[in-house]
Amino acid sequence: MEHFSNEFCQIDLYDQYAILTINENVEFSLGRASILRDKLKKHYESKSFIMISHRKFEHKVSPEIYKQGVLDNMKGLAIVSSSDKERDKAILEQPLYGKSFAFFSTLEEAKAWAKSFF
Amino acid sequence: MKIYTLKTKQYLPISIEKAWEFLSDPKNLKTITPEYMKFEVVSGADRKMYPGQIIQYIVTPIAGIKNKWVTEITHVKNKEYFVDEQRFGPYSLWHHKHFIKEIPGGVEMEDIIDYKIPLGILGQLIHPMIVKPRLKEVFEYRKKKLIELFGTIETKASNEIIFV
Repeated sequence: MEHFSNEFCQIDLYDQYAILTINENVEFSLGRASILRDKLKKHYESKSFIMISHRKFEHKVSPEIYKQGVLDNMKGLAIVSSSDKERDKAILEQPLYGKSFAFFSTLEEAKAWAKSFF
Repeated sequence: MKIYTLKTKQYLPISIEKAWEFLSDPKNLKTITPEYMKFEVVSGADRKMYPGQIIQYIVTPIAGIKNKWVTEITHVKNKEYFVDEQRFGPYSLWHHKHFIKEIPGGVEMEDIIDYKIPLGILGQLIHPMIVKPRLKEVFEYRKKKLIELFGTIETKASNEIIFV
């Protein structure tokens, strides 16, 4: 597992999935997403993986990320939160992301889902 | 005598256990049915699904007219399929097969409904104008609600609602 953190996020890169936690009150913009994209490209190269977005903290996600910032080998996105508010936000994000998309209340469920693709 | 068939497939990012638990519980039908239909389970949904189970509903599908539906669960195979058949209601025939199977990332949910509408030739005339669009709307709504509840899986297979 490879761990990376900077001023706006923390990410753990496993073989089949990455767990991303964005810090509180961050606006997750296209520019910030491209920093992560480089990390993901370097780690996974052309290998498929699932992104798990662990929404521990409230933050904004720019819709532009879904239009321009998603890697082809990112096969699915899991949103993890036990908050109804985060879930409502995720419902709005789902149509923007054209691939597999799931909601979970625990990280363990999301990890099991990610593993089921491989 | 015209028998119509409706086929749908949807892919859900949940375990087969979770899919079965949700889909085989008649109480969840209200959640995935359009609100304007005022769907209500009147009786029969107080136990886990079993063959021979009679479930009574009230639905208001068209023009505010309340309809009583009685269906029987005729076949159940745990985590694989179940079949409901209308015993009393607006259709001359309603035979609904619900299949689920595991796929990478979740489950494939397949529905096959064979149905017939009453009133002979008149029924066949109103089918494309009223019945077919309404059924399409109901299944589109269900698809949207299930995505909201569980998410979705990208597949190469068709997600369309097909009438044969």
